Amino acid sequence: MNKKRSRLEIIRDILEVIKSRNGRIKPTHILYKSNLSYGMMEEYLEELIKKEFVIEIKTPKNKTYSITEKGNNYLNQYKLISEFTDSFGLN
Amino acid sequence: MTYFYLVPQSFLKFSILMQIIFALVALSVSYFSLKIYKISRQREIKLFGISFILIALSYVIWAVIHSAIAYPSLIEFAKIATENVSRLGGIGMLAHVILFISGLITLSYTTVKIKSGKIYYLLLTLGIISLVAPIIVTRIIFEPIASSAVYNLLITSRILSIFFLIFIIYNYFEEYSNNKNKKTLLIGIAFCLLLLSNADFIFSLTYYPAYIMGHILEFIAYLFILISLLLTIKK
Repeated sequence: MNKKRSRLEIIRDILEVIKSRNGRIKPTHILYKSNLSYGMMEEYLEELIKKEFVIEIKTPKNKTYSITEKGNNYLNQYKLISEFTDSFGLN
Repeated sequence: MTYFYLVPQSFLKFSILMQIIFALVALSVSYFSLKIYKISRQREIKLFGISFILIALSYVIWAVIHSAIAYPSLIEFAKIATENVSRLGGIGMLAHVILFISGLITLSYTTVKIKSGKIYYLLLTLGIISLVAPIIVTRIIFEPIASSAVYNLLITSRILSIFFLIFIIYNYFEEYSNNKNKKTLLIGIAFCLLLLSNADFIFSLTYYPAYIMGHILEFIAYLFILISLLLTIKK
């Protein structure tokens, strides 16, 4: 059985999904790829927008999400973040 | 200047150096923690950093108090009147214990992973009230702080520290049982040593070798924390 993902891992997974789509993706794709419920995905996206990891682009037809420099930085430094939180019991 | 512990004169200057080392290790942990917070924007990492800043500040104040005892010329240099020296020493000790306990409360709150500011402020207020209330009630804040009141303050703070450290240790070992990370275990052991040193410091009010032993235990604890930090950021 797979271990439950930590909050940091979920954020990484969402950002990776957004990045993999050339940094622009529809919410339905995030939902499908990130393996989260709709409610949870909304909650995480709201948090990521607030933290400026992701920007929401609204058009009359739909809305898409794009990764920011801060979001990319999070992905690049993920190993260090994860190592720190694991060692100091902050997961 | 009031002596708060039975401190062997030969060890006093050495203990100041150790307190500065403890402050530097705690500051290093908070520096890296806040640096990682800047990237991750995770609240618990920020709180963890703040808890170590509070602990570091408490050691800085402790070192300043002991420096005033070890180097009386500092008091003359600062032009502090004799009648104010004891009062300042008492207030300094109060600031030291409040900062240390606040650091441990912040750390305990971080480890429970509950997102509720109300619970945090409740814990913080309870901790500070239990330290400050007896002093205010006896009104000694308006008089040079009496040694007995300072002893009570020190014992209460040590007992509170032991309580919060047991809580923190439990969480670290629980975390270790889940992640099997040796660095988590090392930090858990470091907090066990801090718990022992806090228990030991209670006896140092009457038995001076306990003061030396307390510092040695704390030194090993901070060494473990530093090793764990270095292993983490080296990767």
